Amino acid sequence: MTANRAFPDPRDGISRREALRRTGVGAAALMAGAARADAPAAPPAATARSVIQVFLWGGMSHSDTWDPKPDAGYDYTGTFNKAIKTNVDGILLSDLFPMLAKQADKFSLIRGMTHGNNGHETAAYLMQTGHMPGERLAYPAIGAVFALFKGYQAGYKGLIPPYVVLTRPQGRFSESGFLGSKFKPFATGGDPNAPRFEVEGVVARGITDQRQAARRDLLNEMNVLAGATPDHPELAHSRECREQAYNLILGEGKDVFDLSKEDPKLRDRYGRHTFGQSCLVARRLVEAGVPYVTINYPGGWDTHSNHFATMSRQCPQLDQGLATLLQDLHDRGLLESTIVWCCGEFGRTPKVDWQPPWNGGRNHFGKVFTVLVAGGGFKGGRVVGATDDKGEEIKERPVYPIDLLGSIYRLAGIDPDAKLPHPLGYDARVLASTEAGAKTAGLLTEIM
Amino acid sequence: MQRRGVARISAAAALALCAAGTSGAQQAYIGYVYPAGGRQGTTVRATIGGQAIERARHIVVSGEGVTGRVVEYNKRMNPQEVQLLREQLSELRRLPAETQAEPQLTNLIVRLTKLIDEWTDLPQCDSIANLVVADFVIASNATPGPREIRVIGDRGPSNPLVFMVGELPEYGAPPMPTSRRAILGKEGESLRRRRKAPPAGGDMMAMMMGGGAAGDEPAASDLDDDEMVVEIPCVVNGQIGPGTIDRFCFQARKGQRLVIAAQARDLVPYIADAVPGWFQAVVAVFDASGRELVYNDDFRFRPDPVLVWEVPADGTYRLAVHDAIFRGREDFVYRVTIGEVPFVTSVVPPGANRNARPNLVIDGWNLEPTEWEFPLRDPEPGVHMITFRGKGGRTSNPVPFLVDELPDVLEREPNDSVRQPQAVPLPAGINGRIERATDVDVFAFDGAASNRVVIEVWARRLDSPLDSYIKLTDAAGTAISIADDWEDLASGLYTHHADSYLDVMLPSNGTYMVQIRDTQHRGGPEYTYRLRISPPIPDFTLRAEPSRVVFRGSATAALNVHILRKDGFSGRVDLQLKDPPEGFTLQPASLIGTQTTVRVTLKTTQVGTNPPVRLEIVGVSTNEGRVLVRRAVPAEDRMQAFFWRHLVPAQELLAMVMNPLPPPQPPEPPKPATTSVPPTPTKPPAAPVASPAPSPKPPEPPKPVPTSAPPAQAQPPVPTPSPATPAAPAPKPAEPPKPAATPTLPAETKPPAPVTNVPSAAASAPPPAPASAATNAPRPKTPEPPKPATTAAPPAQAQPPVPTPSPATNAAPAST
Repeated sequence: MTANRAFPDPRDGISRREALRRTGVGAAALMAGAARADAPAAPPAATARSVIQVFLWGGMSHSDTWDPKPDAGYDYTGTFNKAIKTNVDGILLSDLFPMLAKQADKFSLIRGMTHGNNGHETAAYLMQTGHMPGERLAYPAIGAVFALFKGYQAGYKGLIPPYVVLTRPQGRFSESGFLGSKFKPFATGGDPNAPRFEVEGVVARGITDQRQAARRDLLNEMNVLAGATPDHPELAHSRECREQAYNLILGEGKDVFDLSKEDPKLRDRYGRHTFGQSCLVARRLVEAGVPYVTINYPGGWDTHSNHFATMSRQCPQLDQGLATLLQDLHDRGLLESTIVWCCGEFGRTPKVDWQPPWNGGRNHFGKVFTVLVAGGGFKGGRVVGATDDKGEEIKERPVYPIDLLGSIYRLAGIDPDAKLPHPLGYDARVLASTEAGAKTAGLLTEIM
Repeated sequence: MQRRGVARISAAAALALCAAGTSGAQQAYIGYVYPAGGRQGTTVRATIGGQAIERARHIVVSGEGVTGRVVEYNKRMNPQEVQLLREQLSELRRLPAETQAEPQLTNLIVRLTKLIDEWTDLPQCDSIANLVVADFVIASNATPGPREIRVIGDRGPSNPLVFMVGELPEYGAPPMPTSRRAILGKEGESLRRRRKAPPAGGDMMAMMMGGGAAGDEPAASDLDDDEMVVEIPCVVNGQIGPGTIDRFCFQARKGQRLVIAAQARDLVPYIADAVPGWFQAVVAVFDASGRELVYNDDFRFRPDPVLVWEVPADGTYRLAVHDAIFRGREDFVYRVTIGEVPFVTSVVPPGANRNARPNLVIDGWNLEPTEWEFPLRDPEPGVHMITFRGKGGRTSNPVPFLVDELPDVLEREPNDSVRQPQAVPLPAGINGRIERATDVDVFAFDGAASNRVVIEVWARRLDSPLDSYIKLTDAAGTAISIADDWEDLASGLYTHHADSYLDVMLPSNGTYMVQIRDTQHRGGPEYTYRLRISPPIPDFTLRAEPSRVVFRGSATAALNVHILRKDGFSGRVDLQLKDPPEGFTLQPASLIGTQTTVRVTLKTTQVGTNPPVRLEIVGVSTNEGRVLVRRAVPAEDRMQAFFWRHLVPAQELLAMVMNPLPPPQPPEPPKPATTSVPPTPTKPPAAPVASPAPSPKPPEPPKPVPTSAPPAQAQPPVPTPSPATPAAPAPKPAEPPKPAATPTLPAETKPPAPVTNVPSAAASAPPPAPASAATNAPRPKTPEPPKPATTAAPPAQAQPPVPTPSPATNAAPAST
């Protein structure tokens, strides 16, 4: 009855190893599973070891930021009608990004990003999985794909889970899709800008480390079974997992999240706000070898109303955090091996909507928008694609989601046509195939 | 198999049709009116919420029988302003008691208390947080049906809103205070604070004046669902707040066939920042023990619910009204009619040739009779709205009827297959129905090679539940072309464009068949359609957007004209003003080729118009000798649910010229004093009499442009249509006031010429049709309540009504 099933039948009962695996504490469960699955085929040579994704959920306006059109007229620019030079000739940014303007040699801008979809959930899914929703399968996001191909099954040995989200999951779709809960992102929760960055499951709220250690000691004292069976293999394994989990909580793992270890001046440079400090945490995670980090911007960009006020408030933070991150990665020699990519699920209408109830807002615009990419093998200081004089139409070089994600996978050495392990054995690949109709205009070879 | 649609405007271009209006400068906007109607012969006090309506001082009402007057304007205040008011209120309360008792001060204190009590620091929607209180006087013989109301403030006229004239007693709670924005985790703070429901009695005016005396604060226990006791038949008005359910308690008798018809989307068709993009009302009836008996969310495809319900036993019942997903806000306004009132669910035939005068057979509830004489006299092609009289002599809901120039053909069963089609000539306008779920109607016609033929279904656009699907085949039944849904941008209020359309070039001579059925495999007697099979009839329809133009201190103003081409129309359309009022011209403008929209410029030599004038833009095209003149239907660009945009038709295009104050005159130079002492040669000339030089006259204060209280004018009599002459009486022109007397401009202007409406052809917007008999027994007027005398209120401004034929035609019963 159980012989030929590819997927364990709950009616069959589970082994105790399985039970222990599933009920292990947090990271221990992830690590305990490491030994089981087959490792995937050897990937092609890669330049990127890690990825930091800054996701501007809600969709950030492109014509107000990284594809400025200062001469388009008040109906299009509103009060944001100035562009500034960067340290690369010919590239202009909106004057909301003075710090990023000094880093233009490190990043490139894709100004012809397009998918044509204007729904938050659909566009977010499309941009992060490379598949259109509505098919039979719920595909995993790029972070979960990295967790699969660069995580424990591929030999990752870090204490921190391989796919980390700062600080809350986006909530638009399941990042792990059919890969299952093992590949869910580890969302830290908490606030890196708070005096104590309370990472979910790692830093207990309202409990000092001493008390946490005392609890562990108490548990060990009460663990009569462990004492009676010191050589039992399964219990020993369980003990090992628990020790590793505690190391994460109280030992080296925790250190990664401890920002008090950083130079306060550097923390100031990142910016004393949640986003700035999240960028700093991301750098530390990358230093610790975490393959994929997503920063979901702590604030929405869906500026149907209060557009100009929200942009004035959030763009300086984005500017400061991102610019400092690029500089810091570069200073530590990490930029060559770390991809940084930053965008939302779509852009915003270049023409301001003055009608009520928006009274000066921008609506969704999936027709064309801008993505910032840097590091990990991406060349800096370049612009790929261009829009017309208002930012409403692509003038040259469209880039579709599978082109962008495919380029990131290529640099990281992940085969975009690799099979994903579906629990029912369906043929699911990392990226949608162009034969099946997925739109493509080619990988970003101009900057690779 | 190829699907071809000619002159389709893609969704992307539909987005391009939107025009955000003048950059930056906002136009006056109103988002809701509550209550959104009233009974004939009553005066209704309503609250209108909007923005950019500073110093709102006039109300304009379309059609006849209803006039409006601004009572108060309360702008949305910031916390500092509210604090100032609080301080002023406490100052007033410190006055001696007998001073406070003076009516002016009492009323001021009441008003201030109400303003402060209802103020919220975070409105859920800023754009409807500025409030106008207005009185609407509804004549006892006003034709039942919709009107359009607008507010005029410093920025000119606003967009229109629907205001209904009803025939039944009306109920409604006092207006809801501005909804507070819901903050995540603290949603309870934004729940509606409802005042106590007034006792049963049906005196709408007393209800509208508000709950109790000053200081009667709604308690926290009032947060919830109070019930109102009503007597049917009646209309209940309400606003649904966040999370609230409104309940109405009524007595009913066994056997009554009650129609419970809600209007929510009919009042406010689109809300931009709501998903679903309108107030999705649902109604339910409960018995005395609280058991739900009937429920309705949508009536067929219409989001406004309608139910007919036979009362099972004498007793007390409750009607509950709320939003389908329990949203709410002050612009979630509804009217629900409860009673044995006529409701038409289908009309057969659904359309006719303009020269035919078929009797109409209607189906629905509380209708008697069901067969009616054709009510339209020499109608223009297009969709006409018709109402019928039913039980109790009451007026039914309006029903669309299509008039065209095709020969009428009546569908004849059996015609269910290609082996047994119904032969029809070409062209043909076939009136038929998909009688049951499996019904397919097949029509055969003879076509010639290389001829184009257009097959178009009119069903959904005539309120038929049919979701048509058509297939063109050859004589053997091999499919040549199919069509399901087709986007008709001219139908601004239908969101499921279910009617099918095909434009095909026939491959060869021979017999062809058209099959029509329902896509969703449904059917029934109400699944009527008018199927057109004809050569292409190139035509176009125009929309002028927005429906108001303001010349603010300027002699020019602009608006957009959109063209929707049909059947491959590619001619040139020249735009003109039809019978423009004196001093208004349209700069030459045309639409050519594939252009979908053009911005046109209006010029005026007037310096002030009060009231605003009505303009009519027409498009003229000469196409192979055929001259087409089409009225540009005024429209507003409305967004639905953060994304879709629609051009919602309005009844009139208003233009207003607002002149700012003329610049102050420079002071006159001092005149030298004259003396009466003649100079003598011997003596030195006497010094002038030491009367001081007359001080320079203070500059004349600039004469204000009369923005209110123009000289009293003779009111042109409202022409009452008499039964014997159903034709529309010629509308009398309204006299404008004399403009400000400045030396450089003519002091007199001629009154604007009467505007006669040219109904548009082949358009979905209901053109006005001649008003016919609508005599009701005059209802006793409710006594006028005492007006609160506030010093801040602008002087009363009675609008001289400019009669325009009402849009709905009342049918006369067919003689049996």
